[in-house]
Amino acid sequence: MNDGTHAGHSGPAPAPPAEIRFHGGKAMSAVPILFFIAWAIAQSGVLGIGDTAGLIVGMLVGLILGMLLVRGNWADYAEAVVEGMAQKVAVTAIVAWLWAGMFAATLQAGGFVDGLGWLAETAGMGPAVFPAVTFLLAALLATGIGTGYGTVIAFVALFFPAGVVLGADPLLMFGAILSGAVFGDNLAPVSDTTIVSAVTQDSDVGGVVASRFKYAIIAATLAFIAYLGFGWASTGAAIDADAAALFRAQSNASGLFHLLPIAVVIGLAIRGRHIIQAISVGLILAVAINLLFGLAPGTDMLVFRVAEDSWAAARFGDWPLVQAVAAAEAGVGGSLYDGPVGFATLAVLILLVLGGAQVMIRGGGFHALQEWLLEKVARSVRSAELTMVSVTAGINAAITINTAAQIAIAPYIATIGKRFNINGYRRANILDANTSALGYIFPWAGGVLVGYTQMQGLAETYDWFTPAMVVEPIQAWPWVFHGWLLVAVFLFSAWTGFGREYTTDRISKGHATQ
Amino acid sequence: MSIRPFRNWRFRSDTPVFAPGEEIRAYLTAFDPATGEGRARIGDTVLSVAGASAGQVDQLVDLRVQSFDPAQSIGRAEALPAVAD
Repeated sequence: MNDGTHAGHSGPAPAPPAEIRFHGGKAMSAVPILFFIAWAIAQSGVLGIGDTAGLIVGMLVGLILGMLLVRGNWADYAEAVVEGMAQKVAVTAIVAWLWAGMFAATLQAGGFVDGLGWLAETAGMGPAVFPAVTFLLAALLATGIGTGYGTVIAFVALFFPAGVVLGADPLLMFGAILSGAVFGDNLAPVSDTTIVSAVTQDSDVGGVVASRFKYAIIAATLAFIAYLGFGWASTGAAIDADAAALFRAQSNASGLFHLLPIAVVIGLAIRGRHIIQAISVGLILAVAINLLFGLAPGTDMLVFRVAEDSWAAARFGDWPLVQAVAAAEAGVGGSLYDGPVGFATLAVLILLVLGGAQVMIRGGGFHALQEWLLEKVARSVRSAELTMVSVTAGINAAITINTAAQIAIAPYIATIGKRFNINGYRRANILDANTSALGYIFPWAGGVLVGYTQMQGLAETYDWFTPAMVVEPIQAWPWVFHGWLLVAVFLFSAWTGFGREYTTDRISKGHATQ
Repeated sequence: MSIRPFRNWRFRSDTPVFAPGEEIRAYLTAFDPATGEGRARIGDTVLSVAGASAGQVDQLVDLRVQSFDPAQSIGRAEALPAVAD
């Protein structure tokens, strides 16, 4: 006898539900996702078109092409697409985008960015240190509120423009924000991914957070140093002098009143309130601060623009929150509109991608890949852990919401890990760190696209924000230092045994989630 | 709940060592119906387990180590009656 993967009964890997059969075998179930990835690379990488709605077309066409390859009943395929789109994790992510979008846009309307500008000037914080400080603060916010997506939205809306206009490198700034989101998703006790990683590996949340601290803090320390170093090195970057002058002229300490609603959101999240509750309270407070201190009129937050020659303009034109405008400009506006509406397109895209991923799961392509890894690659504890790290990182290429990626891969990580008696904490840590990291690195990942979507709206918000300051998703991946370093720390740990625990050392406390 | 973030900052061997008489809890990783012998693989260390059943594969089993050869990282253990998941 050699090891658990050979002679004798070694326990079945988790089997998917009723399989959809494809012409050309199980690998063909990956066609919709592979087509989408190729489309995304061609569209955004080769043609340089950063249009999220264009990616929707790519995914739709991929799903149709995949269906043509199905043997037998197409209804099962269609059902799998809907099944994938209906996952709760997708809706949870979209909810975070919508609420964070409203909140961030309302803080923008109240001049929070102008407040940051004032603070940076007063504290003498130059462009060299801005990315490093942004990384720290984004990590802090993400750890507090438990949503990396929400953090990306808030920081791209608020810190990114302030840093860039003061001369910090946009690539470093975006990378630092994404890094902070990775840190929070990985470590926050209230993060979806933390909870999923603990529950699926028979562990308690407190135990996994404590045991993953060492990996997170090593990677974060190195990332912080890297942001400082690259920040210093890039201070010679050309600054748009007009933009900087305009920004300085607008800087105003009163915007910092909005630190209060941010603190309230973090406090409520840490106390275990749902993200909808926490951000709603913060939002109400932000609106009240805007109105009470005159930071923004009500129409900056919500406005009904009615056509000036209409009956409605004559009747309601002088009501609060109503403006009479030229017919072509009629519509709803303000931060409560602009904030969340920008994410509607991305929400549709993410749902479709999860539909495509479900086809791959139900078509057996995913299962076949995992079985191959289990039988052929994971032959020693070192290769098993290296496989676990690579697979958890790579899964984000196909399933672009990191929580969904984790849920899909979790049973396989449990199976591989248990065959070498790797304990639940170690398995949960490998699972969470690498899915969190790559979820903010692949150019088509939800975390990157959500930041890019937010960034595109900045030119409309600020006079001084120029299109040249926008970072395309394809440009961001090398600069997500904490993400890369976290993967590197785990590859090192798998190779050397750093932090490894066997069930004979300690058995994780199963199933308790809080 | 005690949170100890600086716990386990160490390098753990691929081949953990056990002493005869030591009682451990581990997943039974395989069972060979031909010989009636189970196996618990802990890292790259392999213990042959007497007294286990096929139904215990992938379950946590209490074991008592009977003999162990650190040079080859193999040993023998017996399954104890108390079983936990």
